[in-house]
Amino acid sequence: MIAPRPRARFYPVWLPDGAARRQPVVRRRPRLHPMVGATVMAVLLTLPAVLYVSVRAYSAEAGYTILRLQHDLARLRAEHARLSLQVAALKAPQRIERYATKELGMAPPRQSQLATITVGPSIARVEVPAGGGGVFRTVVGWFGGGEAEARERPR
Amino acid sequence: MTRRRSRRPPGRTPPPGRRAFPRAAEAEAEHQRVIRQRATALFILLALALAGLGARLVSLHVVQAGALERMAARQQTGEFLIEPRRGRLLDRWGRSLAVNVDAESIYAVPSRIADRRAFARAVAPAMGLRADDVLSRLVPDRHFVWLARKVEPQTAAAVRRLGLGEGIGFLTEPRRQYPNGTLAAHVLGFAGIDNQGLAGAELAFDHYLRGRAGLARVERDAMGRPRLETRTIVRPPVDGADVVLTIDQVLQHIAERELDATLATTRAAWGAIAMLDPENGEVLALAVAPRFDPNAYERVPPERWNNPVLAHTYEPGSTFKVVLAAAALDAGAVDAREVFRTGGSLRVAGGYVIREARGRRFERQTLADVIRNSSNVGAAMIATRLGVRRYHDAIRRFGFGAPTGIDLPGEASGLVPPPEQWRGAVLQTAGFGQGVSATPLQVLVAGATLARDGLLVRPRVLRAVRDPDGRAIEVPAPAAGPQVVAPQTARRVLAMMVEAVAHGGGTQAAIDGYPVAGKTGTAQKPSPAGGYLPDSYVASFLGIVPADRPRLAVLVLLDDPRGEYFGSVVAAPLFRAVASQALWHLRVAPSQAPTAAR
Repeated sequence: MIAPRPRARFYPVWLPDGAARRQPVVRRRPRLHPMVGATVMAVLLTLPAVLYVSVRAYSAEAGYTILRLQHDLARLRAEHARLSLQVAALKAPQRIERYATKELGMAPPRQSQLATITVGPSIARVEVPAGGGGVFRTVVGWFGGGEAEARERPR
Repeated sequence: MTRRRSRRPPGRTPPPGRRAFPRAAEAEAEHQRVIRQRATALFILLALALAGLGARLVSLHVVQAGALERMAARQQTGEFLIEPRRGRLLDRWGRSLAVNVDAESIYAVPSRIADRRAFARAVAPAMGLRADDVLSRLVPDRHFVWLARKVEPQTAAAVRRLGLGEGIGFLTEPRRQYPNGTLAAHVLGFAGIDNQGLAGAELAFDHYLRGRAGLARVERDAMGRPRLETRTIVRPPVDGADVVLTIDQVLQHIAERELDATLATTRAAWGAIAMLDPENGEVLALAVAPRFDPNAYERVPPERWNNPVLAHTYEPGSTFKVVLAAAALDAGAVDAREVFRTGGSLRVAGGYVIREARGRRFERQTLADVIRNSSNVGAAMIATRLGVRRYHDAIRRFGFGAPTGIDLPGEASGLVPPPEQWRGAVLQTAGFGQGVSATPLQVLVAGATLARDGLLVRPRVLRAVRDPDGRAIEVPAPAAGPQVVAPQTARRVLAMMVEAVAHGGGTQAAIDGYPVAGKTGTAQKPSPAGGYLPDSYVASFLGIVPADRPRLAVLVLLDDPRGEYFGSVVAAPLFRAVASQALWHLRVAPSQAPTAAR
């Protein structure tokens, strides 16, 4: 049987020269204990997961809060609608009239009980006295009063 | 110095100092060959498997991706509609006429009911149903059947107390409610079980009221149950708009109260009062008796749902004489001062004889006298003078023979025969409102048109449309109708109607302090067999008040009153009762000093 002969292999190695050897020995930094490194690594790896889970939990909790508030809103709306219905039924003219006539002994007014008050021109039209200083008043109205006051013409 | 190491694969060369056996070397070579073959085969298999997996991945993620995504979405998510809230119906002052409240509906899951017969026996009494009815709905394979929709809270509580487990469920749905009960039932109409408008304003304005349904998506768990916390709104619902009607709740109540009282005393088959503002055509009240409760509309026969003011046609009788007077004056066929020798009867074409009602006799009458006395003979003579074509055209211009265009459903046209069919005494009888048929609303519109200086009034019940926040999104402007008769003609006819109330047949319609223009009507009811029924009448009164600055046009109609049946006796007082209170309510100041103060 013919087997290949193992080939010799040479590996070049750089060796420090004499000057380098004479250099003072630098103290190496103390290495961390492997457990510490593993713990830090574990924390670094776990922290995002914990953050992610907590954010998701917070989001879910907020979702449930929103859902509960939506239910509250729907319930309150339903209650409002029910109360509105009740108010409308209580304010129905036939009910009020029935209550007034049956319970309170009231009666519709007769013609003789009604009086028409004629509002004369002296009451209906109140003359605004002509204010002095038209331009001054207008300018003051612009800065100190409302738009209506500024635009109102003195009579 | 570096240390050299030889890398010798194990088994290839014998260790130094050991002799290599050729046979062992062959065996080792063979062994290695086998191993290589197996490794190659395994590699090919793995490669094939990976290729298959890759192909499958491409198939799933590329080729079938769309279909699978849809399938997953179908299985993992569900979509459901979010029902919008139906808009409210409000009166002209914003008072609620139709609102929504939440109500519970009860459903059953027959597939989860072990003993359906026992279930039906248990649940039926609580819902006021028969056990057989409930049992017939419990089809075994079904997963959902309605038992009762929108029940009262106490009914739902009673069913819940039965503790029937998974076989029964409850859903909350909005239910339409009419807080005033029967008030304005014929105007409002009603909405069905699914909140769709079915009659009246609910149907006419359904497109405003119903809103638009929204869409929500929710994820499902492994059991297929929706996870509500994952709900996302795809399309938010749009609530329906509120519809503000022109109806005044108080005026409606006044009209209904007085109509009910009159119906009780006259024992009429039915009655109606319609009131509108002639200035803009807004219907302020539209009362019908007997009414129905829209909260329980299914308990009355469907015929009762019809609004007779729009849908019922009748021969208007003497109220139609105002149309004749306006047509004759406007056409110049008659002069207001012209005197007609009317006598007590008139023989017309076909041998028919027209007589005055109640055997009365008027020798000489002007047009104003004809209106005041409600003279049939005088009306027949004026109609003859006017002629078929001109009278027919005037009637059509007043809106008879066609719907008025009111924004409520179910309006009838009435019947005005074409001129070529006016044979015999049709022209003469049409002069006093026989031979043509009209709806009560058409007669009211004709009166309102006279009050509006001859401009045709378009009646309407829609005042505004508001969004759910109360902002007006639509305010229809009053439609301007054509000029039917000249303004001075309308005013002259109105003056004749004032005279008819002051000194004619409508004295019982007079209101202290307010000039009333009115016309009574007592029309015979046609018989289905031809001719007229002997003892069946329609009593009516058409009134406009105050006549000098019209605010109200009112039509009162009583169908087939027992005992007294003349419009002047039963309808005119009803008009006065309603109109006087309506004027007070509207704060319309009297035009004249009251009698007591004069």
